[in-house]
Amino acid sequence: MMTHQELIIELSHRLKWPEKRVAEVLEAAVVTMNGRLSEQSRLTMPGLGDFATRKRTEYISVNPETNERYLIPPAVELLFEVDAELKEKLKSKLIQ
Amino acid sequence: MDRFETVGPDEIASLLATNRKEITREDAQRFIEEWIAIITDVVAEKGKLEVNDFGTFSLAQCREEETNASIAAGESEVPCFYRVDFTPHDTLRKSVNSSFIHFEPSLLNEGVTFGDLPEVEEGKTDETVSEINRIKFMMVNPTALNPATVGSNPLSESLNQLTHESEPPQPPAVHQPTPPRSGKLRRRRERSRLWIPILGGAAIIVAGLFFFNTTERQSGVHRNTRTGSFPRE
Repeated sequence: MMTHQELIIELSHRLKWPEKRVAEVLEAAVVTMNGRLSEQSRLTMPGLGDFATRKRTEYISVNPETNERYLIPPAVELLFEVDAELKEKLKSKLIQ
Repeated sequence: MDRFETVGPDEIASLLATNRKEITREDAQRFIEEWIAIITDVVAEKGKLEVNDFGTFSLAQCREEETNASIAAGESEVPCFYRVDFTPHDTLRKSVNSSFIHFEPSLLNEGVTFGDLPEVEEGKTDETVSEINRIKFMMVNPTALNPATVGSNPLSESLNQLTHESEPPQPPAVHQPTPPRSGKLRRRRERSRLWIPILGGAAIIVAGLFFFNTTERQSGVHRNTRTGSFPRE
């Protein structure tokens, strides 16, 4: 697994920027993307995938063991749909 | 979806440059491109990447029961399923769901219904998006090959593990199909078969000598008692 800090180090190597600058820009990018997603925009990242929101309507959840029924309120969920390009890349890596 | 405004990397780069004067548009664009490239590389290589306050990208195997069933059935090729997931960070999840954040599930009394509201078993999730993010490919069944020639592919190793985990312990059968063995294994077995009779013969000789000596000693004691003298200590 790659952690947030390791991501900063890797970005710093690739961009040849100081780590502090990378951390600041990454934070700004995350805030920007979160802001757009909160406005329920669809975020498209070529080569990675799409981030979209979807309103899930309310429903009744049933516990099969106790038969208790709960009314689950509506919610806005964040969905991620992987790009076809990434799927192919992962498939070829896994098959190797 | 309620709103369909699509935002791409260019827009994100523009917003970044607008919000942060110290970042030029070109730098922001390079940053976004490299970030996407790292995410795709890491998910392919390491399987998981975490971005604080945004979320975690992960690649995991799924639907193992189908894979196990095919292995158990001895099919020459088995389907393998992997899924790419994004788990949003709590911060992002709450921010996206800000309109309904204060609503909570409530327990319903018996007999209370709400018209057309669907009833779903607890724990069941919507499979639609999971299907989109699923990667399926066919893999040669590693158990159908000679165990000595199975490659070091981690996927085939994990499939091997699945095989061993899924098989319940069984008593040894009278007739079992012997898997094909390599020449080295056959010679090793033949050598071990030769040693067994040799060791057995040596054990018989040692036992015979032991008993022979014992009886000799005992007969020595009896002779001395007949002559009236005690054996020397």
